[in-house]
Amino acid sequence: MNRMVVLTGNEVEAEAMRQINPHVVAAYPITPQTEIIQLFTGYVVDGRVDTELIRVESEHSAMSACIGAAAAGCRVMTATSSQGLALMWEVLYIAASLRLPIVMAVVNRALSGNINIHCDHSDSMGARDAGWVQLFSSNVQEAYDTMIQAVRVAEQACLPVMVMTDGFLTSHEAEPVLLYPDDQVRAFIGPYRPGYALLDVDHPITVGPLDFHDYYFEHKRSQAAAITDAAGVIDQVAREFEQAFGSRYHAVEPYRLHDATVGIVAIGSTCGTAEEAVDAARSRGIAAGLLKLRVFRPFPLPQIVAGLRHVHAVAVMDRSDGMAGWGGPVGVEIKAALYGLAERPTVIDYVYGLGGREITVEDLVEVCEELHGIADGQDGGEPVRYLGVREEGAIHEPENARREA
Amino acid sequence: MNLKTLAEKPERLTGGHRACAGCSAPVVARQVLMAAEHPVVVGCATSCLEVVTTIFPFTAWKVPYIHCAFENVAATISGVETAYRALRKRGELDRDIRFVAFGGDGGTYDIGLQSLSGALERGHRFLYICYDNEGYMNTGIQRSGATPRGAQTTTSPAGKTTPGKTERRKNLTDCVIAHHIPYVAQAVPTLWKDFMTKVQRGLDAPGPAFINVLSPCTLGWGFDPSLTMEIARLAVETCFWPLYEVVDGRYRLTYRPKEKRPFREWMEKQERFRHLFTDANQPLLDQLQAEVDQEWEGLLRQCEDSKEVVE
Amino acid sequence: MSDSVEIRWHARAGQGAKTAALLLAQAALRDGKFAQAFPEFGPERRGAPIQAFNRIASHAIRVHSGVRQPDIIIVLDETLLDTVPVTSGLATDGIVFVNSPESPLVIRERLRLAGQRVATVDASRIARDHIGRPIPSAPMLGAFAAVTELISLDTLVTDAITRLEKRFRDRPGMIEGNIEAIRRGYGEVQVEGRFPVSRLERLPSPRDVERTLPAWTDLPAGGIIVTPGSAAAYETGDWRQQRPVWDFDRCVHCLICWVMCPDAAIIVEDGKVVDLDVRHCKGCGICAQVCPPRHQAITMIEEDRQRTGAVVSAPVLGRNGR
Repeated sequence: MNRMVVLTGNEVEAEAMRQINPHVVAAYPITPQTEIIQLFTGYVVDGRVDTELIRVESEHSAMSACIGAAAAGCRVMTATSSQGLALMWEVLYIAASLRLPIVMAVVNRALSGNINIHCDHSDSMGARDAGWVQLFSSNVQEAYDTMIQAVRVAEQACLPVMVMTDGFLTSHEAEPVLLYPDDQVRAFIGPYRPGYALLDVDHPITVGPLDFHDYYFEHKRSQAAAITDAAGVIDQVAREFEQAFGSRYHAVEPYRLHDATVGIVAIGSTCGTAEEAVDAARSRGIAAGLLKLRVFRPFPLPQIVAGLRHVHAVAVMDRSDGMAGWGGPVGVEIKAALYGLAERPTVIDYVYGLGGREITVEDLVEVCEELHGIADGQDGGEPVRYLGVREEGAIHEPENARREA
Repeated sequence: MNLKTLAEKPERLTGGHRACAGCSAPVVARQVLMAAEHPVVVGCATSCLEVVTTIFPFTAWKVPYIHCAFENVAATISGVETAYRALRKRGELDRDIRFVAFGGDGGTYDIGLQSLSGALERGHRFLYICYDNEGYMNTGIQRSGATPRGAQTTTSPAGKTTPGKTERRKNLTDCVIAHHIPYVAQAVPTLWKDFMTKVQRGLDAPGPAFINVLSPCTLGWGFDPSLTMEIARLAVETCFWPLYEVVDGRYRLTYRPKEKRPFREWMEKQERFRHLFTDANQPLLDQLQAEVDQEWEGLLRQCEDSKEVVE
Repeated sequence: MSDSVEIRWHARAGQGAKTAALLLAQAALRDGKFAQAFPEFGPERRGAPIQAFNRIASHAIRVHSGVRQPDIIIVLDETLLDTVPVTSGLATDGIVFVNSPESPLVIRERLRLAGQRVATVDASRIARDHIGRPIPSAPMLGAFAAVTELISLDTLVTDAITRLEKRFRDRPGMIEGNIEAIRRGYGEVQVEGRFPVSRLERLPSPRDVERTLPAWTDLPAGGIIVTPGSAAAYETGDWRQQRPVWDFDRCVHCLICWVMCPDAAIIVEDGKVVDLDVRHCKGCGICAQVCPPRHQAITMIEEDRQRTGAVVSAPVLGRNGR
């Protein structure tokens, strides 16, 4: 029987891991991910899972142990945040190159420095080219459903998958969530059949050899095909998920976008806030819509073009700054995606929410109004804008004080 | 253990690898694989051994092998070993398999020390073989934490003011012993029986085992390729590289030189120490001998103390 | 020759080709030309075949790709002639320099060259005489200066002094030896062959003669190797400068040589040494060195300098040890 309960993102991710019952989990504590591993450790010590847990001494070793265990032939999971993901950087690429279907919960948190424990996407955006599938979730239900789908995606695509939630937002906010019975989840993910296994000692393989210029490029080309093909796998798994559990997920999900003249593109927990803002803007006569990006890698190019081609102005909400001198990574990629259109919307990149800075419905209604001005030709201004940063001194807002407490 | 019996077993590291003529690392790897009585899975840190044995599409390994990165072979093999336990626990695997990690001194003493320490502390059942050639040879002979004081490398050249590396080498074997793991030893491939016996003890140990193997580098140390085994032996005879093992904390010397040779004799055979033999460097030579003596005598005391514990 | 010359060096790692290419570029620069020098970096260790490249031109050089159609080829190790396609891509009016005591005519026949010129000099012997080690690069540079006139002898000598002064400040004999080696290379080089006719025809380039490699779609996922021990197909026997020979009247088959061979090249059957795996033995000499003094059953002998094919043609031992 399905159960409707009130849980946080971290709790449902731990619950999904319990149901998945992976062979091996290797993880290291880091805020705000720690809770997932604490909860999961409880399941291990109480015998509620059969998982072997490796309490490593760093995230670098966490990912290295995951690579070893996955190459050995096991279903493997882990979780991290921020600096932890950054410390893994070197081995993330190796996990993807070795085509190991590791599933990792990433609870998004700003990268140092200065050190900050709250949400932005600079950690997972920094890893966007590592060869991992990247799936974002915008609420607790999505976090749960995505963890379950991620196992299938990883194993069918033979690629590692990151499942993102927003640190201290989706990760720590309790919401009603529908949980599925253990047997149905296990039936959905099925038994694990590794692509190759070191522990098959009768058929010895060499994993991770040295490639020179005569083979490296071919291996990279093959890997590039795998991440391209992962788009189809994600969609197929989503269809099967719908059949099993009723909810249909897509790479991108439009909201009131079909007749919109201005559109917002957002990722993660901001999407819900943006839907509210779209409704508010429409009540003020602005034909606004939202394109929620659920899959960031592989980049859902055709769906993005189809979703945005008819609007006049687009605001890309970037929860990290690429420090590239022209905004954040999502903005850059959305602009590139629309380049092929003969008539393109004007795209404004809004860098926002860094280090957990609040984003409100009002903020996003204001964005819709700015877009409306652009569509009308009144505002032809800055293509990169910083939303919610103090341009001049201001009185400290008690709301922020409450969140930090 | 005798060589005639060992030679009947199939070779598990083939020729056709591209190590320098006279390299000791493949000898170390061959002897480990010969000594292993169970199927083994090998992990290898980025190193000369890794580079020369696995150039796609060629591999010299006839056992399952994984290379991940430079600093993480201990973490990687701990993942493999845990996977083994996980599959056995669920009845998905029914084989008795052992796990061996190889790392050079750079990948073990320096950049891989954290990963090694973590894996030892967690108690994975695996044998770590450090093939210590006292420098970063794969990148072109740079100093490492294992390079002896006075040795010349490309990043510790003998210049007008500095006689090679000025710092004392760290004693990694001591660092490992401090982890209180069931088995720790030092070895050289020249005394093959001593080494292979240690490999078997390490593989049979109920938890982590570590063997530090002095592995002379013909190019980096500067000697004729034919002398590899002799140089390794002389390191033992001078007591610079004592052969001993520590089983559950108890020290035992596994080979005692009949006559302790002066440390200088070992250095004189190697180009990297050539600049030391001047009057001006005599105090340094005396210091090097004193350091060897100090560590050797400390080891003898540990061995004596262990006897008392046993009695 | 045109106003741009491309040069390819063939040597074994450790013979000084990389440094020689650098010296050549420096000398060309001193003589008022533009020059480039770069080695081909690979995993190969001492004794393995390697390449290095030069470009020398009267104008600035902008190309950074490898040299595939050289005008000049310099071979520092004669044994490479049998195992490496050293002349591939050579211009029909090109020159091949070979470190060899043989005459250019003999080398021409071995290389089956048509129109190209051949120059030989016994650089290893000259180096041994003057430097004490068979590092052939100094006499080869001398020979190069004599035949091509792309660099002058004076410049070579001046450069060598500048470069060696620091390194051998405690051994002035090494500097003099190097200079003498350059001069003798300059004086003793033998040249043969007709003069430039056409630059249109070239021998097949390395790209043409490369083995067929699989397409990316044909490789196993994850970059893994699924054929254990496939390195056995890779022959390192031609790295060998000397090889072990067993005296079976003295050998007691203790197998110490076998257990200390880095290349698993000593073949043991029924507890007895029966053969040497000549495809893999690199000739390090550890076996001879570790053979117990009371037996001394193994001697190292100089490898035949004119091997045919990638491996030594004659078996080192009979199958049953004799």
